[in-house]
Amino acid sequence: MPNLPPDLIPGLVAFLFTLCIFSYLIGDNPLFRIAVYIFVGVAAGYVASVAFRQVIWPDLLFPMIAGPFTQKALLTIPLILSVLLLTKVSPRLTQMGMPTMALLVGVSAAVAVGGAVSGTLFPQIGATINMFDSRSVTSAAQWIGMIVNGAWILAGVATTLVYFHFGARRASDGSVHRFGLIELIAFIGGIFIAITLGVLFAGVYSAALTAFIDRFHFLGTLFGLH
Amino acid sequence: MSTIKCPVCGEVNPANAEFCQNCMSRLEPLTGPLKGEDAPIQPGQLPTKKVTAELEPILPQWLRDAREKARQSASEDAADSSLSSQNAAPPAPAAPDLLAGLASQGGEEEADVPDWLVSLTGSVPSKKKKNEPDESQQVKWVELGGHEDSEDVAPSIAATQTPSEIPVENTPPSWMAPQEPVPEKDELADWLSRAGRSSASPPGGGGESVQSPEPAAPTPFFASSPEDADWLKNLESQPFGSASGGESPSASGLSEDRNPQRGPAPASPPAGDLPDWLSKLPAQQAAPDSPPPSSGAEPRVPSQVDRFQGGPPAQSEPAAPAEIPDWLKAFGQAPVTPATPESSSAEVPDWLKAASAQSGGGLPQKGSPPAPSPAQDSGQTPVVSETPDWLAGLKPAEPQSPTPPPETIASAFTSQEVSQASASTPAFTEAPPATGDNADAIFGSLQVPDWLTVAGPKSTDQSSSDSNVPPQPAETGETIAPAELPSWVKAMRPVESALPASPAPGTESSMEEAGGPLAGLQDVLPAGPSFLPTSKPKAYSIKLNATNEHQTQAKLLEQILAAETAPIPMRATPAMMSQRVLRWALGVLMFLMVGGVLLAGTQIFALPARVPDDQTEMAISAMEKIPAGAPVLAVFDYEPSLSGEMQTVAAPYLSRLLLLKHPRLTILSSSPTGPALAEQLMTSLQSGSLPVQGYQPGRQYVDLGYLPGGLAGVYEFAQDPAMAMPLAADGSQAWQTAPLQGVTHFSDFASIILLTDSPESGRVWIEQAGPLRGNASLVIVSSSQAGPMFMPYVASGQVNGLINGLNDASKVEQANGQAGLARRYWDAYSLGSLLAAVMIILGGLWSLVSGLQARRAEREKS
Repeated sequence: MPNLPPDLIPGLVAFLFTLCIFSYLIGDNPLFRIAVYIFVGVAAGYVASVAFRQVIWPDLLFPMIAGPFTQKALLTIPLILSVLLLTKVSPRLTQMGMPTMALLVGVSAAVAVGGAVSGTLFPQIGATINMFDSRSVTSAAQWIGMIVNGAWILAGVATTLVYFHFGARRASDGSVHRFGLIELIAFIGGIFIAITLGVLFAGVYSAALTAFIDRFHFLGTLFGLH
Repeated sequence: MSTIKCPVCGEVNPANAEFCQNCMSRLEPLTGPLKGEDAPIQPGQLPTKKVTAELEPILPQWLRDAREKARQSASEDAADSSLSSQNAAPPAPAAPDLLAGLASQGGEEEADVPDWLVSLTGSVPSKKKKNEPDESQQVKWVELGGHEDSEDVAPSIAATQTPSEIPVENTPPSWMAPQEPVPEKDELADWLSRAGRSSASPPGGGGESVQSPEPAAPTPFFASSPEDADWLKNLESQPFGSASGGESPSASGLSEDRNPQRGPAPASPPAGDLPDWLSKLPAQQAAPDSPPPSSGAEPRVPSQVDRFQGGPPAQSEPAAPAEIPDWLKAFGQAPVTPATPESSSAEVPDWLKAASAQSGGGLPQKGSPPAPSPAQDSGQTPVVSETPDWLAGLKPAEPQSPTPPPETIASAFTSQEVSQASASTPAFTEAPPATGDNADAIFGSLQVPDWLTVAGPKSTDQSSSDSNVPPQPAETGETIAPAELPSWVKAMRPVESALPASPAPGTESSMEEAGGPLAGLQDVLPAGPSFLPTSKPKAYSIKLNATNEHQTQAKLLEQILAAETAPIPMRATPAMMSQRVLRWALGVLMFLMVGGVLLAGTQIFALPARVPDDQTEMAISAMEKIPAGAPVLAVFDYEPSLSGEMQTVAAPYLSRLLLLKHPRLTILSSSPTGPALAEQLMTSLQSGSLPVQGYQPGRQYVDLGYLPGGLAGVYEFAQDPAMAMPLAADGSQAWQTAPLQGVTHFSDFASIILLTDSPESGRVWIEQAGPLRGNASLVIVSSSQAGPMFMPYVASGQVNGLINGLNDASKVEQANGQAGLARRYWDAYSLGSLLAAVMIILGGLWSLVSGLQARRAEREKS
């Protein structure tokens, strides 16, 4: 038996699965589905194993077994909540998991709101305002650039916010239209939003293209085509 | 226990009762008693004379002229007053000033006075009765017809008899007293005189009868004259007898209210222009439609008769104030005098009692002798010769109409009254007729209109023959034409279109109104609610009664609904085939071009130039500021699907960092797959273009593994890293390893490098951990799809640098001075991006052209 590179079998498996995914080019087919099912199953199994090995066992079960009494007592609460959360599997007992879900949702919402306000809203507003800060400007060109850039960003932010203003009046003929000036500003904001979505689409395409190239590179490396 | 008698039905009720137990009439008037000048005059009290000269301006011109003439003929007045003194009557209360002087015009001045006025006021002073309260009382119940029904009905019942039977004792008011000297005769007087002659022989015949004096010159009740008003002329032209069978508006209204079962009225009511007090005369005249005394038809006897017998005695009506005529006073007064049951005979008017006494018969009261008349009580010679003209006029009028049908009588009285009447014997049914001298004595001074006396016997004969025969016109040869309704009464007649086409269910059909304003209309007046039959709502079954047709339709509906929900197989269209072909073509093109360029290893496309102060240079600058050997936190937060891109992008930056700064690397994953991807990256770094050697787990770097909890876990880790992640991925105490030495807080890391492909997870780290990072730099290595979303944070300074996709990775490689995967992928990446752009543009043009062609084709078709 000749010596096979150690990455040959994993490479072949990866190649097969890559072809299965590429088979979606001809449409939905069993190969694609098999590859997807396997990926999902493996990912779930891996996540479960990671969760158990890195979270449940070291942080919950092991302390409950070998930890001090105080730690055990403190871990009783998350243990009960975790058990109640497991009742979500059964439709009859799904209501018992509601307290845990409520705790999770409530805490997550509170943390998200606080972080959004302190980490995004206020800093972004301040950044938009500081675009016109001329203290760091040393030349006329910088000053002009600062003004143009700040005005552009300010216009984009303002018009985009106005775009999401949906207040309107009902006209005499029954049609509903926004106020004329609001409509104009919202139109400009729509342009900014369209540019942003185009950038996002280009980024998604770029990411997918890079992944596609990486797969091609893997295949070339596997088969020594480079 | 004190009792109170109902003024309406005579029922004895407890004193505290508010309404009659029998007829539910109010026993006590709501209005308080009259006080002061308006207080009623008590019996025996003389009214105070009051000057009403101030009312003279409002009198009619003819009245003022008459008054003026009266003043001029003072001497004649003195003569008339002497005649009145012969009757030994007490001085009558002064005539109302309103009519003052009119009485004095009798005699010589008669010709100047209108006849009707003469009839009204032509009573000579001698006719003045000593019993003034009785006079006023009579006037009132003549005018109102409602003072005391017993008194009101008494003359009516008496009118059914011959005039000679009428025992009259009370003198009529002076203004109604007939005038003895009748200087002239008109046509009306003629037929009145004939009627008087014909009524000389009473139908009763034997027994003591009061022979009514034949009036030599009977004065009509209303004498016509050219100056008479129209309504008086109408009154003349329409004898009261014509209204006997019909109903006056008031009477009909009364009967309609009381009894819905109304019989046909033979004649129309008199003219509505008459004053109320006059219009009530024919209404009262309708009351004599009671059956003749001999018939003994108790059920048809109105209750008034019964009350006349057993009702309370009519007390003397207090005299009205002198300044207002009694007939005007009577409009505002409807005195209800409570009667005591002991004096049942007192209900009979005194004049009637006196007549009965004189005739020797007396009233056939059961067990009660005839009550003495007031005149007898006073010891004065009773004067029974003065019968009120109105009574005499009413009396003969009744005979003109025979006994009306029962419905007519029933219309005038309530059923209750009728029942009461049926339970008692009429007061006058057995009264002996007054004949002979007694009658003369009684009616000596009675000026009975001849037209009434003439009609009396005839009608009496007819009534005795057949009581059910409808009233016939008098045989005087004059056709009694029904009075025309006033225009306003006609306007109030209901429109025939508004009347129900068919009678109400349960009611007898076709009750046509024969008289009154509603004459000729059918079913105008609804029957009483008590007569309507009660019907229960029809019960419907809740069971579905579906026929075969209904079931068939239901099945059809079910089929339609089933067809709506049934899936319809989609037919493959050529467009789908073209799209699949296009997809294949694009796939093959992409495979060939990208794969060919990648496999060929060309470097056609130049790398992007480095731009100062851009996010990549900021990230490199931030890395340059990291002290050597400082703890650095690398967060792996991307999915395996984008691991190829992320490793290509992150490898140059991490290789540069590890090679240049030799940081103590701490790896943390906020994704479950992160630890494996981190391990793969670290492995790939060792075999990359810039191989990183010497980094061993647990020595140079530590893998904390998966951080659970999402954003809450991130927040917790930022608050207390050791508490959140006490163990490493391999289960060892992470914070006791060399890479984490001296690190107790999140801000103790020199730099945080976030590798993410999701803007959401990257934002979580920015929001939750950014404020707690202290002086540590935050650099994001992101996929191309998430990089644009981090640009604002880079611009705001919340992120110190950004490595976005393959473009920025190529810049880092340029900075490293060593080509890597980014440069290898760049041509394929650039060609693939260009191909995509070209295909998008071509697709847009194709869509535009196809759209224009389609519109052109539609235009051609249209």
